[in-house]
Amino acid sequence: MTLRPDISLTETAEGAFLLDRITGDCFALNRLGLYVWHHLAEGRSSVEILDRVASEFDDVPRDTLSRDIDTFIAALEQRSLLTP
Amino acid sequence: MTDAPAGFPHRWLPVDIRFDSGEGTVKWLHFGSTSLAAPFFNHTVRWLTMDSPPAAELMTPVEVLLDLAARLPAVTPAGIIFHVSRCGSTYLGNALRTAGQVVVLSEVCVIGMVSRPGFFHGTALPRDQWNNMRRRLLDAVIRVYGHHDVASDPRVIIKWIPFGLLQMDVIRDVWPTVPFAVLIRDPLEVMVSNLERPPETFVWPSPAREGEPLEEYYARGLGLLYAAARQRLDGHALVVDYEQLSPEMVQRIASFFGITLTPGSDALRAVMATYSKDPSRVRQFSDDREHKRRHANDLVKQSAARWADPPYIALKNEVALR
Repeated sequence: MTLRPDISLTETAEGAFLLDRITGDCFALNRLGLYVWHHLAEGRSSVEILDRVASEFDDVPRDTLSRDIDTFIAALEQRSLLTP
Repeated sequence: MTDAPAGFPHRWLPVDIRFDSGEGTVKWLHFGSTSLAAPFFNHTVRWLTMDSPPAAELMTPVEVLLDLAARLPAVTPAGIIFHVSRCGSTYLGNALRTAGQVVVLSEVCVIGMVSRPGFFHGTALPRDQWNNMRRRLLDAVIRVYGHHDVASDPRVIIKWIPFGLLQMDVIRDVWPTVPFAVLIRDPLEVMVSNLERPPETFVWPSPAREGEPLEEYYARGLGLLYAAARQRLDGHALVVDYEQLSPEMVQRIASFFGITLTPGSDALRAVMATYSKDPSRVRQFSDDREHKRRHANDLVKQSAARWADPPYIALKNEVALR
């Protein structure tokens, strides 16, 4: 599971703006989404990402973070922003 | 298919390219004696199509454009202008036009269209051909446009719409070593200008949020443009703020593009004294920064401070460090 290389990313105060150079579609990421995005770009698995996010956001239950990350990755897959 | 009109392709220009069907098609417009000297290309097209009788149009397969362009000498752009709108880019384009051999392609829709991410999406063209076809089409369009007004060795400058800043990855894939200038301006002044005179082509890639005030929508979009510029600067970039856009700076940008302007020439003086967007070049230029700041309401100020000022300042700081 890796990020497609033909996505342009611009970081903003809110998170990031994604532009799919193939379809022209645009997406916004919030800060957690951007955080996960960077870890995906480094080739980390969803479990590794959860561990890192959980250590940074220790006031949020791990189950909640896990659900949020899974939902986010599923959204990326649904929009074809990931390659298997 | 019908025969091409007599004289084609002399003084014809491609104004639209589509890949809707299996084979790409090009729409050509007969420009006749009309030059590309107007501040905005779309104005020229509008005059021609609304004229009586309207300028002739012709549809051809894409191969006709590629074949015709191949007969012309190659043209590499001398420079590219990105901008955030209402920041002096039209003035700069007009000033550069005063130099010999210079052709400024100001917001030419067919160039923007082909550069747009997703242009080939949903077409019959195989995906592994998209990048190559984009390069070939842009190369062909630049050759044909470049030689429309200048027969030999045209120096082409391409000025994008503001959205071009978000397309920079695509554009710079095509021309990675062409120098580019990024024109910026204080967000408050840009926002007031856009709110007073809503733009034709200031289109954000995503719509306003439900119930979002226009002020906030503009500020968010503007912030995105500054951020996109900052994150894509390299050794080929020159960032210029509106407040720096003196005659000396125009000379510097021209030199950066390898163009020589004649200081004090009548043409250059005329450009500098008139309002850049007036095609008749009659309306006098006046510095409106104070006016813009006075007319910024609280929502403009709050939105700018929240969304646009931080990336604007970050961009300026980045430039100062380079």
